[in-house]
Amino acid sequence: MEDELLIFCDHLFKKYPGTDWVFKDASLTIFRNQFLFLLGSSGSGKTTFIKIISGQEDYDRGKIIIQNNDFRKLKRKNLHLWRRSLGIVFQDFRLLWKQTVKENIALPLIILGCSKNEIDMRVKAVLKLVQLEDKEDVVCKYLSGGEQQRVAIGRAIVHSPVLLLADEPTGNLDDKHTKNILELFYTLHARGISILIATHDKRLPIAIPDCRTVMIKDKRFIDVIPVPKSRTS
Amino acid sequence: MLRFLLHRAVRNTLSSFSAFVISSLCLGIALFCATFYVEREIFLNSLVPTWARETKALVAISNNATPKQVEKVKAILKVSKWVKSFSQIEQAKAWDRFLKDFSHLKDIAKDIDPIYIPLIFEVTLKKECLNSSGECSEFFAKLEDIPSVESVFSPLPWIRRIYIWFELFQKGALFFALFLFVCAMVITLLGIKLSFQASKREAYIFDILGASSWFIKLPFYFQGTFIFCVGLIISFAGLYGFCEKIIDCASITDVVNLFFVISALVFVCEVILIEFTVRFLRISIRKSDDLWVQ
Repeated sequence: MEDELLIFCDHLFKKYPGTDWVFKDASLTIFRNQFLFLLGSSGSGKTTFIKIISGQEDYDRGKIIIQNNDFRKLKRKNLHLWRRSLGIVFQDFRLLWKQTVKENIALPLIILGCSKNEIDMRVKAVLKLVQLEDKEDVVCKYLSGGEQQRVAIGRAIVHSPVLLLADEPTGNLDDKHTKNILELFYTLHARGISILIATHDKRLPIAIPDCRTVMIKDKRFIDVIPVPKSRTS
Repeated sequence: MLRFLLHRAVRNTLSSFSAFVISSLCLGIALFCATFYVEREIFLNSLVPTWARETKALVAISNNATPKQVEKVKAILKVSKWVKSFSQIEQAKAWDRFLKDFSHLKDIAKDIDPIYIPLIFEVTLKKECLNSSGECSEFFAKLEDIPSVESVFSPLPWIRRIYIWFELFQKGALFFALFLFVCAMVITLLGIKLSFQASKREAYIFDILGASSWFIKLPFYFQGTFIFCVGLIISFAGLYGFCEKIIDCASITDVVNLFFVISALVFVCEVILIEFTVRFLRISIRKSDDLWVQ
Protein backbone atom coordinates (compact mmCIF):
# COMPACT_ATOMS: atom_id res chain seq x y z
CA MET A 1 0.00 0.00 0.00
CA GLU A 2 2.80 2.39 1.01
CA ASP A 3 4.59 2.09 -2.33
CA GLU A 4 1.61 2.62 -4.61
CA LEU A 5 2.36 5.61 -6.83
CA LEU A 6 -0.10 8.46 -6.47
CA ILE A 7 1.52 11.45 -8.16
CA PHE A 8 4.64 11.63 -10.25
CA CYS A 9 5.94 15.01 -11.38
CA ASP A 10 8.62 14.61 -13.98
CA HIS A 11 10.86 17.57 -14.88
CA LEU A 12 8.22 20.13 -14.13
CA PHE A 13 8.56 23.70 -15.38
CA LYS A 14 6.27 26.51 -14.35
CA LYS A 15 6.49 30.23 -14.87
CA TYR A 16 3.98 33.03 -14.34
CA PRO A 17 3.97 35.74 -17.00
CA GLY A 18 6.57 38.39 -16.30
CA THR A 19 8.23 36.52 -13.44
CA ASP A 20 11.13 34.15 -12.90
CA TRP A 21 10.63 30.38 -12.99
CA VAL A 22 8.66 28.97 -10.06
CA PHE A 23 9.68 25.40 -10.89
CA LYS A 24 12.57 24.55 -13.12
CA ASP A 25 13.13 20.92 -13.88
CA ALA A 26 11.47 19.90 -10.60
CA SER A 27 10.62 16.26 -10.02
CA LEU A 28 8.66 14.71 -7.17
CA THR A 29 7.06 11.36 -6.45
CA ILE A 30 4.22 11.05 -3.96
CA PHE A 31 3.12 7.61 -2.82
CA ARG A 32 -0.22 6.59 -1.44
CA ASN A 33 -0.64 6.77 2.34
CA GLN A 34 2.31 9.11 2.69
CA PHE A 35 2.44 12.01 5.14
CA LEU A 36 4.40 14.62 3.27
CA PHE A 37 5.48 18.07 4.32
CA LEU A 38 6.31 20.51 1.55
CA LEU A 39 8.60 23.09 3.07
CA GLY A 40 9.60 26.35 1.52
CA SER A 41 9.83 30.03 2.20
CA SER A 42 7.12 32.46 1.11
CA GLY A 43 6.93 32.65 -2.67
CA SER A 44 8.87 29.45 -3.17
CA GLY A 45 5.99 27.78 -5.03
CA LYS A 46 4.16 25.71 -2.39
CA THR A 47 0.72 27.11 -3.22
CA THR A 48 1.50 26.94 -6.93
CA PHE A 49 2.30 23.25 -6.58
CA ILE A 50 -1.01 22.60 -4.77
CA LYS A 51 -2.80 24.60 -7.47
CA ILE A 52 -1.11 22.56 -10.19
CA ILE A 53 -1.96 19.26 -8.53
CA SER A 54 -5.59 20.31 -8.01
CA GLY A 55 -5.90 21.50 -11.61
CA GLN A 56 -6.34 25.18 -10.79
CA GLU A 57 -3.11 26.15 -12.47
CA ASP A 58 -1.43 24.89 -15.60
CA TYR A 59 2.26 24.03 -15.97
CA ASP A 60 4.54 24.93 -18.85
CA ARG A 61 6.64 21.83 -19.40
CA GLY A 62 7.24 18.43 -17.93
CA LYS A 63 4.86 15.64 -17.16
CA ILE A 64 2.55 14.84 -14.29
CA ILE A 65 1.26 11.32 -13.89
CA ILE A 66 -1.68 10.91 -11.54
CA GLN A 67 -2.78 7.38 -10.69
CA ASN A 68 -1.18 6.18 -13.93
CA ASN A 69 -2.94 8.84 -16.03
CA ASP A 70 -1.40 11.76 -17.83
CA PHE A 71 -2.63 14.83 -15.98
CA ARG A 72 -3.13 16.95 -19.08
CA LYS A 73 -5.44 14.34 -20.58
CA LEU A 74 -7.19 13.90 -17.26
CA LYS A 75 -7.71 17.66 -17.00
CA ARG A 76 -9.41 17.83 -20.34
CA LYS A 77 -12.16 15.36 -19.53
CA ASN A 78 -12.24 14.18 -15.95
CA LEU A 79 -10.76 16.93 -13.84
CA HIS A 80 -13.86 17.01 -11.65
CA LEU A 81 -13.46 13.29 -10.92
CA TRP A 82 -9.84 13.80 -9.81
CA ARG A 83 -10.90 16.74 -7.66
CA ARG A 84 -13.48 14.54 -5.98
CA SER A 85 -10.68 12.30 -4.77
CA LEU A 86 -8.88 15.31 -3.28
CA GLY A 87 -9.48 17.20 -0.09
CA ILE A 88 -8.14 20.73 -0.11
CA VAL A 89 -7.61 22.93 2.92
CA PHE A 90 -6.89 26.49 1.87
CA GLN A 91 -4.81 28.92 3.83
CA ASP A 92 -7.75 31.32 3.91
CA PHE A 93 -10.23 28.44 4.46
CA ARG A 94 -12.51 29.41 1.56
CA LEU A 95 -15.72 28.57 3.34
CA LEU A 96 -19.21 29.70 2.47
CA TRP A 97 -19.45 32.34 5.17
CA LYS A 98 -23.21 32.65 5.17
CA GLN A 99 -23.77 28.90 5.47
CA THR A 100 -23.68 26.86 8.65
CA VAL A 101 -20.86 24.52 9.67
CA LYS A 102 -22.98 21.52 8.73
CA GLU A 103 -23.86 22.93 5.30
CA ASN A 104 -20.21 23.67 4.57
CA ILE A 105 -19.03 20.23 5.57
CA ALA A 106 -21.84 18.55 3.63
CA LEU A 107 -20.92 20.25 0.33
CA PRO A 108 -18.60 17.56 -1.13
CA LEU A 109 -21.20 14.91 -0.31
CA ILE A 110 -23.96 16.88 -2.04
CA ILE A 111 -21.69 17.21 -5.07
CA LEU A 112 -21.10 13.44 -5.01
CA GLY A 113 -24.87 12.93 -4.94
CA CYS A 114 -25.01 11.13 -1.59
CA SER A 115 -28.37 10.46 0.03
CA LYS A 116 -29.61 12.64 2.90
CA ASN A 117 -29.12 9.85 5.43
CA GLU A 118 -25.55 9.24 4.32
CA ILE A 119 -24.80 12.98 4.39
CA ASP A 120 -26.20 13.27 7.93
CA MET A 121 -24.24 10.25 9.10
CA ARG A 122 -20.92 11.30 7.60
CA VAL A 123 -21.21 14.94 8.62
CA LYS A 124 -21.97 13.86 12.17
CA ALA A 125 -18.88 11.63 12.24
CA VAL A 126 -16.68 14.42 10.86
CA LEU A 127 -18.09 16.99 13.28
CA LYS A 128 -17.08 14.64 16.07
CA LEU A 129 -13.62 14.19 14.60
CA VAL A 130 -12.98 17.93 14.26
CA GLN A 131 -14.64 18.59 17.61
CA LEU A 132 -17.36 20.88 16.32
CA GLU A 133 -20.39 18.82 17.35
CA ASP A 134 -21.91 21.69 19.29
CA LYS A 135 -21.40 24.20 16.45
CA GLU A 136 -23.08 22.40 13.57
CA ASP A 137 -25.80 25.02 13.14
CA VAL A 138 -23.58 28.06 13.63
CA VAL A 139 -23.01 30.27 10.61
CA CYS A 140 -19.32 30.11 9.66
CA LYS A 141 -18.65 33.85 9.83
CA TYR A 142 -19.32 33.73 13.58
CA LEU A 143 -16.64 31.10 14.24
CA SER A 144 -13.12 31.74 15.50
CA GLY A 145 -10.11 31.25 13.21
CA GLY A 146 -9.31 27.83 14.72
CA GLU A 147 -12.90 26.70 14.35
CA GLN A 148 -13.04 27.87 10.75
CA GLN A 149 -9.83 25.98 10.12
CA ARG A 150 -11.44 22.82 11.51
CA VAL A 151 -14.53 23.35 9.35
CA ALA A 152 -12.25 23.61 6.31
CA ILE A 153 -10.52 20.37 7.33
CA GLY A 154 -13.89 18.72 7.95
CA ARG A 155 -15.05 19.72 4.48
CA ALA A 156 -11.83 18.37 3.00
CA ILE A 157 -12.10 14.92 4.61
CA VAL A 158 -15.84 14.23 4.76
CA HIS A 159 -15.84 12.38 1.43
CA SER A 160 -12.83 10.22 2.36
CA PRO A 161 -10.39 11.66 -0.19
CA VAL A 162 -7.37 9.81 -1.50
CA LEU A 163 -5.14 12.81 -0.91
CA LEU A 164 -5.53 15.73 1.46
CA LEU A 165 -3.79 18.92 0.32
CA ALA A 166 -3.35 21.53 3.03
CA ASP A 167 -1.90 24.94 2.23
CA GLU A 168 -0.38 26.55 5.33
CA PRO A 169 -3.03 24.97 7.55
CA THR A 170 -1.47 26.37 10.69
CA GLY A 171 -0.44 29.73 9.29
CA ASN A 172 -3.04 31.68 11.25
CA LEU A 173 -3.05 29.59 14.39
CA ASP A 174 -1.35 29.77 17.77
CA ASP A 175 0.76 26.89 19.11
CA LYS A 176 -2.11 25.22 20.93
CA HIS A 177 -4.37 25.16 17.87
CA THR A 178 -1.46 24.14 15.65
CA LYS A 179 -0.86 21.11 17.87
CA ASN A 180 -4.56 20.17 17.72
CA ILE A 181 -4.65 20.47 13.94
CA LEU A 182 -1.50 18.38 13.53
CA GLU A 183 -2.96 15.72 15.79
CA LEU A 184 -6.06 15.73 13.64
CA PHE A 185 -3.98 15.28 10.48
CA TYR A 186 -2.09 12.47 12.13
CA THR A 187 -5.39 10.75 13.03
CA LEU A 188 -6.58 11.13 9.42
CA HIS A 189 -3.32 9.70 8.12
CA ALA A 190 -3.76 6.73 10.44
CA ARG A 191 -7.14 6.19 8.78
CA GLY A 192 -5.50 5.80 5.39
CA ILE A 193 -5.60 9.29 3.86
CA SER A 194 -2.46 10.50 2.10
CA ILE A 195 -1.55 13.96 3.30
CA LEU A 196 0.46 16.77 1.76
CA ILE A 197 0.98 19.82 3.95
CA ALA A 198 2.59 22.89 2.43
CA THR A 199 4.15 25.06 5.09
CA HIS A 200 6.97 27.45 5.77
CA ASP A 201 7.15 26.32 9.42
CA LYS A 202 10.15 23.98 9.73
CA ARG A 203 9.02 22.83 13.20
CA LEU A 204 5.94 21.03 11.93
CA PRO A 205 7.60 17.93 10.40
CA ILE A 206 9.29 17.24 13.71
CA ALA A 207 5.92 16.82 15.39
CA ILE A 208 4.85 14.01 13.06
CA PRO A 209 6.71 10.71 13.30
CA ASP A 210 7.58 8.82 10.09
CA CYS A 211 6.65 11.69 7.80
CA ARG A 212 8.46 12.64 4.64
CA THR A 213 9.71 16.18 4.18
CA VAL A 214 10.42 17.78 0.85
CA MET A 215 11.84 21.24 0.52
CA ILE A 216 11.50 23.56 -2.44
CA LYS A 217 14.95 24.95 -3.09
CA ASP A 218 16.34 26.52 -6.23
CA LYS A 219 13.01 25.84 -7.96
CA ARG A 220 13.34 22.10 -7.34
CA PHE A 221 12.09 19.56 -4.84
CA ILE A 222 14.68 18.17 -2.44
CA ASP A 223 14.04 15.45 0.13
CA VAL A 224 15.28 16.53 3.55
CA ILE A 225 15.41 15.05 7.05
CA PRO A 226 14.12 17.50 9.63
CA VAL A 227 16.31 17.87 12.66
CA PRO A 228 15.07 19.38 15.96
CA LYS A 229 16.65 22.75 16.73
CA SER A 230 18.02 21.56 20.10
CA ARG A 231 20.09 18.90 18.31
CA THR A 232 21.51 21.31 15.76
CA SER A 233 22.60 23.87 18.32
CA MET B 1 -28.85 17.10 -4.90
CA LEU B 2 -31.76 18.33 -7.02
CA ARG B 3 -33.32 19.98 -3.98
CA PHE B 4 -30.03 21.74 -3.28
CA LEU B 5 -29.77 22.96 -6.88
CA LEU B 6 -33.41 24.09 -6.94
CA HIS B 7 -32.85 25.94 -3.70
CA ARG B 8 -29.87 27.70 -5.25
CA ALA B 9 -31.93 28.54 -8.34
CA VAL B 10 -34.69 30.08 -6.22
CA ARG B 11 -32.12 32.05 -4.25
CA ASN B 12 -30.46 33.24 -7.46
CA THR B 13 -33.85 34.26 -8.84
CA LEU B 14 -34.67 36.22 -5.71
CA SER B 15 -31.27 37.90 -5.74
CA SER B 16 -32.06 39.37 -9.16
CA PHE B 17 -35.83 39.59 -8.72
CA SER B 18 -36.40 42.82 -10.65
CA ALA B 19 -34.53 41.40 -13.66
CA PHE B 20 -36.62 38.24 -13.33
CA VAL B 21 -39.91 40.18 -13.36
CA ILE B 22 -38.94 42.41 -16.28
CA SER B 23 -37.55 39.59 -18.43
CA SER B 24 -40.61 37.40 -17.72
CA LEU B 25 -42.91 40.26 -18.74
CA CYS B 26 -40.92 41.00 -21.89
CA LEU B 27 -40.87 37.33 -22.82
CA GLY B 28 -44.61 36.98 -22.14
CA ILE B 29 -45.54 39.98 -24.28
CA ALA B 30 -43.10 38.91 -27.01
CA LEU B 31 -44.68 35.46 -27.15
CA PHE B 32 -48.14 37.02 -27.28
CA CYS B 33 -47.18 39.34 -30.14
CA ALA B 34 -45.36 36.58 -32.05
CA THR B 35 -48.39 34.32 -31.75
CA PHE B 36 -50.61 37.21 -32.87
CA TYR B 37 -48.41 37.58 -35.95
CA VAL B 38 -48.24 33.93 -36.97
CA GLU B 39 -51.90 33.26 -36.24
CA ARG B 40 -53.03 36.47 -37.93
CA GLU B 41 -55.57 34.70 -40.15
CA ILE B 42 -57.48 33.45 -37.14
CA PHE B 43 -57.34 36.82 -35.44
CA LEU B 44 -58.30 38.64 -38.63
CA ASN B 45 -61.26 36.39 -39.16
CA SER B 46 -62.32 36.97 -35.59
CA LEU B 47 -61.70 40.70 -35.69
CA VAL B 48 -63.29 41.49 -39.06
CA PRO B 49 -67.06 41.02 -39.11
CA THR B 50 -68.69 38.41 -41.37
CA TRP B 51 -69.90 40.99 -43.92
CA ALA B 52 -66.32 42.08 -44.39
CA ARG B 53 -64.97 38.56 -44.68
CA GLU B 54 -67.44 37.75 -47.42
CA THR B 55 -67.47 41.06 -49.20
CA LYS B 56 -70.44 41.70 -51.37
CA ALA B 57 -71.04 44.33 -54.03
CA LEU B 58 -74.30 45.35 -55.64
CA VAL B 59 -74.57 45.90 -59.39
CA ALA B 60 -77.70 47.80 -60.34
CA ILE B 61 -78.85 47.37 -63.94
CA SER B 62 -80.46 50.28 -65.72
CA ASN B 63 -84.23 50.02 -66.20
CA ASN B 64 -84.02 50.37 -69.95
CA ALA B 65 -81.45 47.62 -70.37
CA THR B 66 -82.38 44.94 -72.84
CA PRO B 67 -82.29 41.23 -71.84
CA LYS B 68 -79.32 40.82 -74.12
CA GLN B 69 -77.43 43.53 -72.26
CA VAL B 70 -78.35 41.93 -68.93
CA GLU B 71 -77.00 38.61 -70.18
CA LYS B 72 -73.79 40.37 -71.22
CA VAL B 73 -73.34 41.73 -67.68
CA LYS B 74 -74.04 38.27 -66.31
CA ALA B 75 -71.38 36.79 -68.62
CA ILE B 76 -68.83 39.39 -67.47
CA LEU B 77 -69.52 38.56 -63.84
CA LYS B 78 -69.33 34.85 -64.55
CA VAL B 79 -65.85 34.94 -66.09
CA SER B 80 -64.36 37.55 -63.76
CA LYS B 81 -61.51 36.32 -61.59
CA TRP B 82 -62.68 38.57 -58.77
CA VAL B 83 -66.20 37.22 -58.50
CA LYS B 84 -66.85 34.21 -56.33
CA SER B 85 -70.57 34.02 -57.02
CA PHE B 86 -73.47 36.27 -57.85
CA SER B 87 -77.22 36.13 -57.63
CA GLN B 88 -80.06 38.24 -58.92
CA ILE B 89 -82.14 40.06 -56.34
CA GLU B 90 -85.77 39.87 -57.45
CA GLN B 91 -87.50 43.23 -57.68
CA ALA B 92 -90.54 42.20 -55.66
CA LYS B 93 -88.40 40.81 -52.89
CA ALA B 94 -86.24 43.90 -52.88
CA TRP B 95 -89.37 46.05 -52.66
CA ASP B 96 -90.74 44.06 -49.70
CA ARG B 97 -87.41 44.36 -47.95
CA PHE B 98 -87.34 48.11 -48.55
CA LEU B 99 -90.81 48.51 -47.08
CA LYS B 100 -89.83 46.40 -44.12
CA ASP B 101 -86.57 48.27 -43.43
CA PHE B 102 -88.04 51.74 -44.05
CA SER B 103 -91.55 51.36 -42.68
CA HIS B 104 -91.75 55.11 -41.91
CA LEU B 105 -91.57 55.79 -45.65
CA LYS B 106 -94.54 53.55 -46.36
CA ASP B 107 -96.87 56.46 -47.20
CA ILE B 108 -94.50 57.91 -49.76
CA ALA B 109 -93.61 54.54 -51.24
CA LYS B 110 -97.15 53.20 -51.61
CA ASP B 111 -97.62 54.91 -54.97
CA ILE B 112 -94.37 53.62 -56.45
CA ASP B 113 -94.53 50.74 -58.82
CA PRO B 114 -91.97 47.99 -58.03
CA ILE B 115 -91.30 47.84 -61.74
CA TYR B 116 -89.16 50.97 -61.31
CA ILE B 117 -86.79 49.21 -58.91
CA PRO B 118 -83.68 48.35 -60.88
CA LEU B 119 -82.57 44.82 -61.47
CA ILE B 120 -79.74 44.16 -58.99
CA PHE B 121 -77.02 41.53 -58.89
CA GLU B 122 -75.58 40.71 -55.51
CA VAL B 123 -71.93 39.83 -56.18
CA THR B 124 -69.82 37.92 -53.63
CA LEU B 125 -66.19 38.83 -54.08
CA LYS B 126 -63.22 36.51 -53.91
CA LYS B 127 -60.68 37.02 -51.13
CA GLU B 128 -58.03 37.96 -53.70
CA CYS B 129 -60.06 41.04 -54.43
CA LEU B 130 -59.13 42.42 -51.02
CA ASN B 131 -55.47 41.67 -51.50
CA SER B 132 -55.28 43.45 -54.86
CA SER B 133 -58.00 45.99 -54.42
CA GLY B 134 -56.54 48.27 -57.12
CA GLU B 135 -57.24 45.84 -59.94
CA CYS B 136 -60.49 44.76 -58.37
CA SER B 137 -61.72 48.35 -58.08
CA GLU B 138 -60.72 48.88 -61.69
CA PHE B 139 -62.88 45.93 -62.69
CA PHE B 140 -65.90 47.46 -60.96
CA ALA B 141 -65.16 50.87 -62.46
CA LYS B 142 -65.17 49.29 -65.93
CA LEU B 143 -68.38 47.47 -65.06
CA GLU B 144 -69.97 50.77 -64.08
CA ASP B 145 -68.96 52.22 -67.45
CA ILE B 146 -71.10 49.68 -69.32
CA PRO B 147 -74.24 51.62 -70.51
CA SER B 148 -76.65 48.98 -69.22
CA VAL B 149 -75.20 49.21 -65.68
CA GLU B 150 -76.70 52.01 -63.66
CA SER B 151 -74.39 51.90 -60.67
CA VAL B 152 -72.11 49.63 -58.62
CA PHE B 153 -72.11 49.75 -54.83
CA SER B 154 -68.93 48.28 -53.36
CA PRO B 155 -67.62 48.46 -49.79
CA LEU B 156 -64.18 47.61 -51.17
CA PRO B 157 -62.37 50.86 -50.29
CA TRP B 158 -63.47 50.54 -46.65
CA ILE B 159 -62.58 46.89 -46.36
CA ARG B 160 -59.27 47.55 -48.00
CA ARG B 161 -58.58 50.27 -45.46
CA ILE B 162 -59.27 47.83 -42.61
CA TYR B 163 -56.92 45.32 -44.19
CA ILE B 164 -54.14 47.89 -44.62
CA TRP B 165 -54.45 48.90 -40.99
CA PHE B 166 -54.46 45.29 -39.92
CA GLU B 167 -51.37 44.53 -42.00
CA LEU B 168 -49.59 47.47 -40.40
CA PHE B 169 -50.70 46.25 -37.02
CA GLN B 170 -49.34 42.76 -37.78
CA LYS B 171 -45.98 44.15 -38.83
CA GLY B 172 -45.92 46.27 -35.70
CA ALA B 173 -46.69 43.19 -33.62
CA LEU B 174 -43.85 41.26 -35.27
CA PHE B 175 -41.40 44.10 -34.74
CA PHE B 176 -42.56 44.54 -31.15
CA ALA B 177 -42.26 40.77 -30.54
CA LEU B 178 -38.69 40.73 -31.86
CA PHE B 179 -37.76 43.83 -29.88
CA LEU B 180 -39.20 42.44 -26.65
CA PHE B 181 -37.61 39.04 -27.30
CA VAL B 182 -34.19 40.68 -27.60
CA CYS B 183 -34.92 42.74 -24.46
CA ALA B 184 -35.98 39.59 -22.57
CA MET B 185 -32.82 37.77 -23.63
CA VAL B 186 -30.56 40.69 -22.68
CA ILE B 187 -32.26 41.09 -19.29
CA THR B 188 -32.12 37.32 -18.69
CA LEU B 189 -28.42 37.43 -19.50
CA LEU B 190 -27.90 40.34 -17.10
CA GLY B 191 -29.96 38.61 -14.40
CA ILE B 192 -27.89 35.44 -14.73
CA LYS B 193 -24.71 37.47 -14.72
CA LEU B 194 -25.84 39.20 -11.53
CA SER B 195 -26.72 35.90 -9.89
CA PHE B 196 -23.44 34.39 -10.99
CA GLN B 197 -21.48 37.35 -9.66
CA ALA B 198 -23.36 37.08 -6.37
CA SER B 199 -22.51 33.39 -6.08
CA LYS B 200 -19.17 33.22 -7.85
CA ARG B 201 -17.35 32.17 -4.70
CA GLU B 202 -19.76 29.29 -4.32
CA ALA B 203 -19.24 28.36 -7.95
CA TYR B 204 -15.48 28.49 -7.40
CA ILE B 205 -15.74 26.24 -4.31
CA PHE B 206 -18.03 23.80 -6.09
CA ASP B 207 -15.54 23.67 -8.94
CA ILE B 208 -12.64 22.98 -6.59
CA LEU B 209 -14.62 20.34 -4.71
CA GLY B 210 -15.16 18.42 -7.94
CA ALA B 211 -18.60 19.53 -9.03
CA SER B 212 -19.43 18.64 -12.61
CA SER B 213 -20.29 21.42 -15.05
CA TRP B 214 -23.95 20.46 -14.78
CA PHE B 215 -23.89 20.92 -11.04
CA ILE B 216 -22.74 24.51 -11.51
CA LYS B 217 -24.85 25.24 -14.56
CA LEU B 218 -28.17 23.68 -13.57
CA PRO B 219 -29.28 26.39 -11.10
CA PHE B 220 -28.91 28.94 -13.89
CA TYR B 221 -30.87 26.73 -16.27
CA PHE B 222 -33.56 26.47 -13.62
CA GLN B 223 -33.48 30.25 -13.25
CA GLY B 224 -33.95 30.62 -17.01
CA THR B 225 -36.74 28.07 -16.91
CA PHE B 226 -38.53 30.03 -14.18
CA ILE B 227 -38.37 33.14 -16.38
CA PHE B 228 -39.63 31.16 -19.36
CA CYS B 229 -42.48 29.55 -17.40
CA VAL B 230 -43.70 32.86 -16.01
CA GLY B 231 -43.45 34.38 -19.50
CA LEU B 232 -45.39 31.44 -20.90
CA ILE B 233 -48.13 31.84 -18.30
CA ILE B 234 -48.37 35.59 -18.97
CA SER B 235 -48.60 35.12 -22.74
CA PHE B 236 -51.06 32.24 -22.46
CA ALA B 237 -53.27 34.21 -20.09
CA GLY B 238 -53.06 37.16 -22.50
CA LEU B 239 -53.98 35.02 -25.49
CA TYR B 240 -56.80 33.33 -23.63
CA GLY B 241 -58.21 36.62 -22.44
CA PHE B 242 -57.84 38.24 -25.86
CA CYS B 243 -59.26 35.28 -27.74
CA GLU B 244 -62.08 34.27 -25.46
CA LYS B 245 -63.12 37.51 -23.84
CA ILE B 246 -62.32 40.28 -26.32
CA ILE B 247 -62.53 39.08 -29.92
CA ASP B 248 -64.37 35.81 -29.48
CA CYS B 249 -62.12 33.41 -31.43
CA ALA B 250 -63.62 30.22 -32.73
CA SER B 251 -61.44 28.25 -30.33
CA ILE B 252 -58.34 28.94 -28.26
CA THR B 253 -56.95 25.53 -29.32
CA ASP B 254 -56.63 26.84 -32.90
CA VAL B 255 -54.33 29.57 -31.64
CA VAL B 256 -52.14 27.62 -29.23
CA ASN B 257 -50.72 25.08 -31.69
CA LEU B 258 -48.19 27.48 -33.16
CA PHE B 259 -47.92 29.27 -29.83
CA PHE B 260 -46.26 26.19 -28.34
CA VAL B 261 -43.92 25.84 -31.32
CA ILE B 262 -42.80 29.47 -30.90
CA SER B 263 -42.46 28.96 -27.15
CA ALA B 264 -40.27 25.90 -27.70
CA LEU B 265 -38.02 27.89 -30.06
CA VAL B 266 -37.76 30.72 -27.53
CA PHE B 267 -36.86 28.20 -24.83
CA VAL B 268 -34.11 26.73 -27.02
CA CYS B 269 -32.72 30.25 -27.61
CA GLU B 270 -32.79 30.89 -23.87
CA VAL B 271 -30.97 27.62 -23.11
CA ILE B 272 -28.25 28.43 -25.67
CA LEU B 273 -27.89 31.92 -24.20
CA ILE B 274 -27.57 30.57 -20.65
CA GLU B 275 -25.07 27.92 -21.74
CA PHE B 276 -22.77 30.49 -23.33
CA THR B 277 -23.20 33.02 -20.52
CA VAL B 278 -22.40 30.53 -17.75
CA ARG B 279 -19.53 29.02 -19.73
CA PHE B 280 -18.00 32.46 -20.25
CA LEU B 281 -18.51 33.44 -16.60
CA ARG B 282 -16.99 30.17 -15.37
CA ILE B 283 -13.89 30.76 -17.45
CA SER B 284 -13.63 34.27 -16.01
CA ILE B 285 -13.80 33.06 -12.38
CA ARG B 286 -11.30 30.27 -13.03
CA LYS B 287 -8.85 32.90 -14.19
CA SER B 288 -9.50 35.34 -11.36
CA ASP B 289 -7.48 35.23 -8.18
CA ASP B 290 -9.15 38.16 -6.48
CA LEU B 291 -12.25 36.18 -5.46
CA TRP B 292 -11.09 35.93 -1.90
CA VAL B 293 -9.76 39.42 -1.46
CA GLN B 294 -12.07 41.01 1.10
